Order: sequence, then structure tokens, then C-alpha cells
Amino acid sequence: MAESVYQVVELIGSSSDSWEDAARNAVREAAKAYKDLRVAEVTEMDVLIENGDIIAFRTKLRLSYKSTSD
Amino acid sequence: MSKLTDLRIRLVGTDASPRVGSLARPARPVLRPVLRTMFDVDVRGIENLPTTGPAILSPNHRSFFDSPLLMIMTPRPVVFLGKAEYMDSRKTKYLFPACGMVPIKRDARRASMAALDTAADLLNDGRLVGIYPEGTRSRDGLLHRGHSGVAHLALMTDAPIIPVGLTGTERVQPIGSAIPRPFQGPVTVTFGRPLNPTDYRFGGNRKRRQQMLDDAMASIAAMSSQTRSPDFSSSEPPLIRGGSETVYKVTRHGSSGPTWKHAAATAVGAAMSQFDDGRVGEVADLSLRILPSGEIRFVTEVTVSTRFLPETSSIH
Repeated sequence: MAESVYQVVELIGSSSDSWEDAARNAVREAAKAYKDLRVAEVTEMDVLIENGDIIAFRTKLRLSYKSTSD
Repeated sequence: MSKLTDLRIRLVGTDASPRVGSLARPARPVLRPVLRTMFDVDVRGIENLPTTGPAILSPNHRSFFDSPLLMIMTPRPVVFLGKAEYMDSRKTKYLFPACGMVPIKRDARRASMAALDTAADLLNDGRLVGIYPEGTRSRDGLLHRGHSGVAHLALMTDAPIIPVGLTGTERVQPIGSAIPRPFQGPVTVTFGRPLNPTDYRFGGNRKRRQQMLDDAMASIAAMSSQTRSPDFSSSEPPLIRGGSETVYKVTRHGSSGPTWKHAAATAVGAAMSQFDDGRVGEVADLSLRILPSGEIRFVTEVTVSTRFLPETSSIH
């Protein structure tokens, strides 16, 4: 039976365009540091507001990646 | 020998500061009729180009040929911002800047800021700057979603955006082709009506930026006759970006103490000794531990977000 261990890292991506982009930014950056990214759970979404307008969309993700300590 | 060096420096500059546009100016009038004949180039809407002052040319992008075509066929000198990869090769190191490309020195993270600053400086100097709103060449022929950097730059510098529609360049030099192939025309270059930042006065920055970008993309689509795609043409971030696209890493730190407040302070202290840019802290969990002696210890877990840097995050 296949058994594997995943580690979880929590990241917040931000984008001036959308929550989807914010999530994409976070995953893109994470992919540079971690191998085998599989699932990301969205834990929180919010917006930054300045002068009555949204200046950034933020998406908080719990990303799991395969642990290679074996 | 020294005269030769002198000439070289006059034409292409030095390693530290390659000259921008030195070859483009004398070459343009010579190359213009050559291009017209070899590629059957038709230029429309020249009246839409301001004769003086800054403007951002925003063309659709389907071919490597797009930049040289615009540099040669536009009545005024145009500069494009180029990725610094070109500057690593000896062959293109001097040639590209001399033809009007401004190299963006990039140390990875600062690149987009540097590109934005450089473009803003050029516009404040009253130059024509070419920026592809799609960020990179379209591989499927569709007109992809525009990046907001173009509009951000226009609103930042008060320079108008001139949408540009290019057709036929994808036949002259398709993606993957090393050199432009003659007699594959016709090629058309259409300059659209300028979009002035002063016409986008209402709403916040983001709304104005989006509105201006939407109008620019609609105008390009009408001129290039491309079908539009709601997606970006590449997942790579473009050289010129609109706003904040930072990624933060959230880390958890726990500590125990005689009170939750005390434990929180210790946990935050531990986090801060690890990171020098802790931003937002949040209490994630409060619990208590009962020691065998019956004494109670209060446990507080806090989260702290810090700038996420892939290059320094170890691979576990």
C-alpha cells in the first residue's frame, strides 16, 4: 500500500485583480520552493481597502506538499 | 584603434550603459521602404499618434517581429522594455538597446518595480514607450486578457494609451521561427484613438485602471480582429505589473506562561527573533495545560505572516 506524508504550509497570496489571481500567485511562489504541491485549501479571503476602494484581494491557502524525508 | 572604440561607444555605449536607440534613428528611414516592400506593410491611423509628448503604445502580440516592426514603422522613435535575458547574450547585448530596447536589470523580486520606474522615467521624458498589455506573445492566436500595468502606468504619468492593432505578423515570423520571412504579407499596423487618463476621473484607482484597460483591450480587439480570451496568455507574471502581488507565509508559534497574555508575548517574541519582517499577528488558539502538580500553565498559539521568499524557503 502506498503511504506518503504531506507537509502543510500556510500562505497568503495577494493580487490587485482577483482572489483567483491571489491564489495563483501564492501557488506559483510556493511551487518554486516545494515539490509535489497537490491540494490547497482556501481558509480565508479578504480585501484590503484604501480610500473607499479595493486595492488588493487576498487569499489564504493551506498548501500541502509531499514530504521527501524518506 | 581608439577611433574605432570611440565610434563603438558612440553607437552602442558601454557595458555599464548601453545606448538606447542609437541605431534605430538613422536606420528607420532606410528600413521603412524595405519593410513596406518585403512584408507589404500598411500603416493606418497615424493621425492618432501625438506628434510630441509621451504616449504608451499598446499592441497585441503574436510575433517576435512585432517590436522591430513598430520601432521602424512608427513615425516617432519608440522604445520597448525588454527582459534582461537578452542582455546575457553577447550577440544581443548591444544590438537590442541600439534598436530601441530598454533592458530591465532584474534581480528577481525587484524586476517589476524597476520596469515600472524605467517606463515612467521614459514617459516623463516625453518618449513613446511600447508595452504589450498581454505581457507575452499569444501562442494560440487569441487576444488574451490584458495586465493592468499599462493602465497603471498611464494613470501614474498622465500619458495617453494608444491601442495598436497588428495583423499578419504571425505569418511573417510565427512563434518558433528564428527570422522574419519576406513576402508573407500583408501586414497591417493600425494606431487607434488615444485613451487619455483625464477621461478616467471617476472611481478609485482600481476602477479607473480597469476601465482604461478594458477600453484599450476592446480597441485592440476591434483593430486586430482577434477572438478574445478571458485568460492571461502566460502564467508568468509580466514585466510591467499593476499592483501588489506579494505572497506571505503564515507561521504558527506557541508558548506557555502564567497567563495567556504572557504566553502570547513570549510566542510573538520567539517569532520575531526568527523573522525580521513579521507583519500581521493573530491569536490562533488558547488552551491550558495542567501539570501533574496541579499547577495550570496557559498556552497561547499565535500566527505571524512574513514575506514568502521561495529562494530562502528550504525544501523539506
